[in-house]
Amino acid sequence: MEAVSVKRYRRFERVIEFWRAYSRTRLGLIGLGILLFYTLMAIFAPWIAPYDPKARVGGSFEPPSAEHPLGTDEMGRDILSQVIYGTRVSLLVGVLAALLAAAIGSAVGMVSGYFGGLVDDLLMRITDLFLVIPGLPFIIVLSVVLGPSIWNIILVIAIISWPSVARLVRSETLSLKERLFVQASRVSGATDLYIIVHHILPNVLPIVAASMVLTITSAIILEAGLSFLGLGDPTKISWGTMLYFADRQGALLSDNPYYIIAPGIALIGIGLAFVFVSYALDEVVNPRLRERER
Amino acid sequence: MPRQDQVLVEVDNLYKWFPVRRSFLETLLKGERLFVKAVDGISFSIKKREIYVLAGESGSGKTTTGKVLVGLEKPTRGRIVYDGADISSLSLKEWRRQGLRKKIQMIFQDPYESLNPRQRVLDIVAEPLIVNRVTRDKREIEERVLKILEEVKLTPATEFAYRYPHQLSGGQRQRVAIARAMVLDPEFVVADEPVSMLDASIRASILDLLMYFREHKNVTYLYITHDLATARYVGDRIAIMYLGKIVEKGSVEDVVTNPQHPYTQALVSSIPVPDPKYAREKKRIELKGEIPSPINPPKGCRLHPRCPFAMDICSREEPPEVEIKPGHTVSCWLYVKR
Amino acid sequence: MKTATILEVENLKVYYFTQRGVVRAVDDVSLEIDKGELVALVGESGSGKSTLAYAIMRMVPPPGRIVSGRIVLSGIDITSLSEEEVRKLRWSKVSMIFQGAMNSLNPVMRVGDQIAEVLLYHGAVYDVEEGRKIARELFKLVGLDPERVMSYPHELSGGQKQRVVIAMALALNPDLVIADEPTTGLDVTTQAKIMDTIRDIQRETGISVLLITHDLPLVAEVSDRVYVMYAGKIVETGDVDKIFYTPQHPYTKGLIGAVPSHIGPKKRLIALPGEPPDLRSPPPGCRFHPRCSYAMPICKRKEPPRTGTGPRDFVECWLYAGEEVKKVA
Ligand SMILES: Nc1ncnc2c1ncn2[C@@H]1O[C@H](COP(=O)(O)OP(=O)(O)OP(=O)(O)O)[C@@H](O)[C@H]1O
Ligand SMILES: Nc1ncnc2c1ncn2[C@@H]1O[C@H](COP(=O)(O)OP(=O)(O)OP(=O)(O)O)[C@@H](O)[C@H]1O
Ligand SMILES: [Mg+2]
Ligand SMILES: [Mg+2]
Repeated sequence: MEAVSVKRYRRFERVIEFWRAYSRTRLGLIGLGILLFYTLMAIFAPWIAPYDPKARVGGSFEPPSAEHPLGTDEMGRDILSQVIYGTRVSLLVGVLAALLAAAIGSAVGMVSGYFGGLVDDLLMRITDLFLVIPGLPFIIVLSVVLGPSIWNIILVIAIISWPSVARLVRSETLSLKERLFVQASRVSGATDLYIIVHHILPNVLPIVAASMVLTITSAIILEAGLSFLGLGDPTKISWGTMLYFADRQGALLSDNPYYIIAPGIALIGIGLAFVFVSYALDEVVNPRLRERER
Repeated sequence: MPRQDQVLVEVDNLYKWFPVRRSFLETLLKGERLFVKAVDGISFSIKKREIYVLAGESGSGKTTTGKVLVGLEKPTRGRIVYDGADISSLSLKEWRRQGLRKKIQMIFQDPYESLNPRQRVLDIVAEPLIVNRVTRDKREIEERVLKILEEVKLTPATEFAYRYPHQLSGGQRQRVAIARAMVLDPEFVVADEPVSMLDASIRASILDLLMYFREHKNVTYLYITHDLATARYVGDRIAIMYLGKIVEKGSVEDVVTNPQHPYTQALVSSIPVPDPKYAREKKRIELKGEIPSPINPPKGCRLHPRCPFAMDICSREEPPEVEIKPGHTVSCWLYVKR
Repeated sequence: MKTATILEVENLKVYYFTQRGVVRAVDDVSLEIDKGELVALVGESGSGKSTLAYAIMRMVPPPGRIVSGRIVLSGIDITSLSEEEVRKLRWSKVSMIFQGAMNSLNPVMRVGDQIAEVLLYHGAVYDVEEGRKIARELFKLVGLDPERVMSYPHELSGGQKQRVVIAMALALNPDLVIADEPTTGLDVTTQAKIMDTIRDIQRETGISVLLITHDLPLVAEVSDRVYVMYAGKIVETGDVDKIFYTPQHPYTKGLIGAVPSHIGPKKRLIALPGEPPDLRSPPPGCRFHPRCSYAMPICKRKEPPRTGTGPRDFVECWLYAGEEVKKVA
């Protein structure tokens, strides 16, 4: 009985310690605040958005007014509602693409670094191949081939993002596998798989998580970019598709420039938030590593 | 009881060479492959319930020997017989299949490095039970962990079990490492300088703990150290290593209080003595220069370039092992009667 | 025959003001070193030895600060000097061989030039060439081949690097050298040679040395007098024979009882129970009482007074406190 409560307490204490260090970084708090705002917006979009984003609810290119705070688009749809719904797609694409890239990258990196030799050579050649492929042209070709759907966009972004994760994880694994606690585990009788899962993975996770923050950012921006080029999924509202249509309809010169400004600002906001968080994580994670070196 | 039953581990002419990594160009230019001759033909045997000490200076090959014995490194050449069976050519899988992992364990030198910083003490000590599939019952695992924590005096065990390594002192960490090694009730444990990173005042209590497992669980040890004074307190027999070779073997008391090989004499005379008057009088035997590289060890006797008693023959031929007294052998030309 | 006092530390307190509490690393410490003396400061890891050394160099790292007390070096109270004035004294009056310094030599600079740089920085020489010349002399003094000034650190063995570090500490001919664990991590044979070198130089030049270590046997070999530190306090001091043959404080006794020796009859090692305290919240009264087998009720309540055991020796323990002190307490 008592043991359990102690256990909870210790786990909890670690989280608290982390949070204390994190909350000392002002940028980190601001970033987190913005992210929270976006997340809530994505989750509660149907309740927050004043209109159905796909419905014609006014005239075309109406300037901002009390009914339509950010005006309307060429088809008379409410811009504010579109921006709010667009959060869903942007976050979904960003998070899923980054998760996929992290999963592939970690698996390749850990196997490559841990086993070394031929496996390592082979996997790293493949990784290098993906690294040297020029990103944007490759994405464009691939998304043309695969066709416009947000799942394909996620896949495409993951494909170009995993190699850098793999490199990062591999170099960390190389030093981890020489650490004494890994050797100790081997003496205890642990198999390679067990060591990878229980000793390597938990120790690479923090850096993978830190790198994911930046992958999410670039994934969100890539999605917007692809959509802007007309390679997105036209049936889904995202900030990228908004920008694409706004540009095509000459929104900037119309009566309602907010059609193009609003999704742009939403994009910049989320990008900054992730950059702040990643900066704060760096602050928090690094002194910890130093402390352990002692 | 038949005589050979007494011996638990027998090491026979063991070699461990590490290839030196060189650039492609160097290999082309120089041709031959180079090796670090970390262990270069050593033999000794450890009896059941014995604490056998392997001593020598940094780089002499002690840790490498230990790692070969626990299966972390494969021998380049030579035989290791464990409890009557030759285990020197077993693959890692075979090693596990034959249950050797449960019988042979190791305690490492650096308790700050040998524990995973992200695991709790409970997870660390439970690992051998889990990976060897001793039991799947969570309760039983936890009970066994708590019991062994009590045994290594990490009390209250329920409190220590849920701590992380960074919440422990060096001595407490080493107790955790000992608990991990002992939780499977091993027969043979390689203890690699288990106290050298700890404060003098807590060393004795860690040594007491190792003794406890010998008394109560019949554990046999290979105790690796560079500290001959401590060796005298824990060990039964000892082998002194220099540059991958054993230069002297015998009972710890004989070798430490009456060393015969010039290297052992130099080593013993360099140990500081906690007795100021004795220290002021004592004479030291000094070796010239520094330890040569194990890649290209000197021909003949490896000590000859540094030895104050070197003779002609020392630089030409390797000295044979001479028994100067039952159980006390020296590999030195000074003791060869001609 | 009264020799000159080189260093006098009086009631020094150095605390670290961390976010998780105040670490009383050096708490009311007094210590003195005469000219030409080799004095040892022994204590467990974390007892505050390095902190005391940093204070004497006037370079306690933040969040640490000298809270109170006096440090008088060759007659000058350095606690009240400005940073600028201290910089002039540092290295020329007192220098330090830092813990692990041999591993922090600049890897891309010739070792001779690293010494020349110290000389240049303090204005002892006017160009690198002159500095190198002095570096050669210093190398001879510490038993290194003078040609080694042209080597890079990675070309030297551990013992040789440590000699370079010693040469660097001697560069400006200081009155006092503080050697913080100068031989940890080195082999016994190398350790013995390094200690011989330090002792020989000290005898030849009449320099004073403060040797910081946790290795008691080493202390027995080389030192004249010993200070025993426990949890931020000096618990006992005396000349080396007194400390080893008639230790007074239970901690000193414990330390000596726990140290193995390879000579003489094999005695039983007696382990000191427990662990040293966390200096953020040391136990009340005598800091050693939780580990002490002689602990009395008063030890848990009041800090023990200083009891003189010789002209400049003392012990801080209730066992030796005079009757009248006890009565007052
Ligand atoms: N994996 C390896 N690859 C190449 N060389 C190695 C390897 N492991 C050890 N060596 C070399 O083998 C020699 C013996 O090393 P070992 O660690 O066995 O010495 P040791 O006696 O344990 O020394 P120490 O007291 O420093 O621990 C050294 O020269 C070392 O550099
Ligand atoms: N920069 C710092 N900030 C906070 N606390 C510190 C700092 N440096 C040292 N301490 C604390 O001060 C105490 C004394 O440390 P110090 O380094 O002086 O000990 P030491 O006797 O030299 O130990 P060692 O033998 O390990 O070198 C310790 O409890 C340590 O944790
Ligand atoms: Mg070793
Ligand atoms: Mg220190």
